[in-house]
Amino acid sequence: MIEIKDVAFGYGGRDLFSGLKLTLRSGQIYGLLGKNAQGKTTLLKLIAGLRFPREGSINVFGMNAGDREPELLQKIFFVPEQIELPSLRVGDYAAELSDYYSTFRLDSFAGYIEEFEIYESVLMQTLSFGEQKKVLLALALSSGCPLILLDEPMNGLDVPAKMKFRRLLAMAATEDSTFILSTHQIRELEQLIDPVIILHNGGVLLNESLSRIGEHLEFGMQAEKPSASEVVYSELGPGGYSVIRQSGMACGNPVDMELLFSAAVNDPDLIRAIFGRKGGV
Amino acid sequence: MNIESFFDAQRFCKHLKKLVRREIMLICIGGFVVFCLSLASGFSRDWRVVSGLIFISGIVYASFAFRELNHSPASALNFLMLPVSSFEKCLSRWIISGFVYPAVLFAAIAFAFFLRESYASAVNCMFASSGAKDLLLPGMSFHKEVVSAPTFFDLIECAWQYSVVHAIFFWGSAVFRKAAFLKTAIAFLCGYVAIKIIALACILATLLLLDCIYGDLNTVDFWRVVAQARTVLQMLWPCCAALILCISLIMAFKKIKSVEV
Repeated sequence: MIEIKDVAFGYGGRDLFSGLKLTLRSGQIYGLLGKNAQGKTTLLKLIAGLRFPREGSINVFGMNAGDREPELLQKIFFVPEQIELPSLRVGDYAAELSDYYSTFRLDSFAGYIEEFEIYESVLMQTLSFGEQKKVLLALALSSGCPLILLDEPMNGLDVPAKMKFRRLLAMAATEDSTFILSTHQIRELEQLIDPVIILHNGGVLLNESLSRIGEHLEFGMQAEKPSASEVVYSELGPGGYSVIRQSGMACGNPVDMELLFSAAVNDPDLIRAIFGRKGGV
Repeated sequence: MNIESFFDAQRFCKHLKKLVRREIMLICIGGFVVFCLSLASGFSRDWRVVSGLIFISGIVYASFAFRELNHSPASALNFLMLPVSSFEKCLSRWIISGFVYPAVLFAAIAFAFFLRESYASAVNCMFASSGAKDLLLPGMSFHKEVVSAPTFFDLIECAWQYSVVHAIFFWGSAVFRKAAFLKTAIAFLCGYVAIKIIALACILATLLLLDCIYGDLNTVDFWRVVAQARTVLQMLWPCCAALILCISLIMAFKKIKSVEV
């Protein structure tokens, strides 16, 4: 569905990606993780055709993303971190978008908006940032687009809204729809995300499903400090040491995504070696 | 890329309709302002003032044709992600700023003229019937004819010049992120001066060439050459203007197609 081949991109004189390769399949909720300035938002923009790679190609649904063909734009809905909505009423804006997106479901939108406790007759400019975000998330979920890009979707949402969004996203996810969520708030979305993509030093450090991660790594807690040789990564927390061990078979323990992320950025080479990825990409 | 990706009439009409609906408030404000001005000052009696006002107002409006791109990254993202082709996005804005907006201004001025003249006629008739023929209301004239009326050629020339200048400012709106009107106006002025200098250089080069041929510069009538050059330039002007118009529109389209957020 998304084929990124040997992409090089940078801002000014600074390279962000070089030789980036990534293949994404449909029907998944991808979690895009990475430290600051690793290119999470840029990657989303490259996929949406909002930025053009210096080298390489990005194909989305068989079309070049940079061409911004209407057929492709109809299939992508992008919720950026910083949002700005036109000075229209919520319902009017949804009705307007429904004319542009043939798959838009106005009835679903009404349901989502009700869930978020926002009235359709309200002017969007009078809404707070969090409420505007809720409107945009509701629009994204009801757009029916097969590819939905969400950049820090939880930013600005209150706790009940976060819970509702998780539930609505789980409900909206189908075999035909793909979500790519870029986030720093891993804990809030880890129940939804599968597979995980970690960007590091200009390339993809990890792009694995949770089941495959579970096959290779075992997550647990222990009271005593483990020796460096027996664990992939350990971290002291309130209840003792959170540890990641290498395992040869699926152990059934849930993947602690935050711990995995810390391990990945702490020792990228080890993670690459475990998952058999070539260095850099 | 197939032709439907580039232009689809149905999709374009739908988009244009929505854009007009969004811009209607701004267009109406512009129309209302000139309506009030015309009603109060009566400038609608002189077509040169009317065309000048529409001209300036139109190019100012054209400078904001792509204001979503320049307002903030989020608004630019909304603009670029809209499932409409770049050509359709460009064309719709060109139509609104180049035709719809001036047409609304013209209608507003014409309506103000009609109201003013109707009122003047009515008052005139009233005074005439009461025998007070020479009594005038303050600030109100009673001439039925307009101060100056354009010829058909005047209108065509005016529309043509507007199209060219509008296209340049439309391009400027796509290129300049901030203060598009001011920057385009400066660029326009610089371009105009540059063309003048190039034209002068061409004339001087011609003179030098003639000097080389005839061997004596004094034998060449400088002003005759200038007059001939001016005639040639005047003949070439429609072609140059058409070229500038096409280049401006194509460049605006290319800029919109290549803009990144």
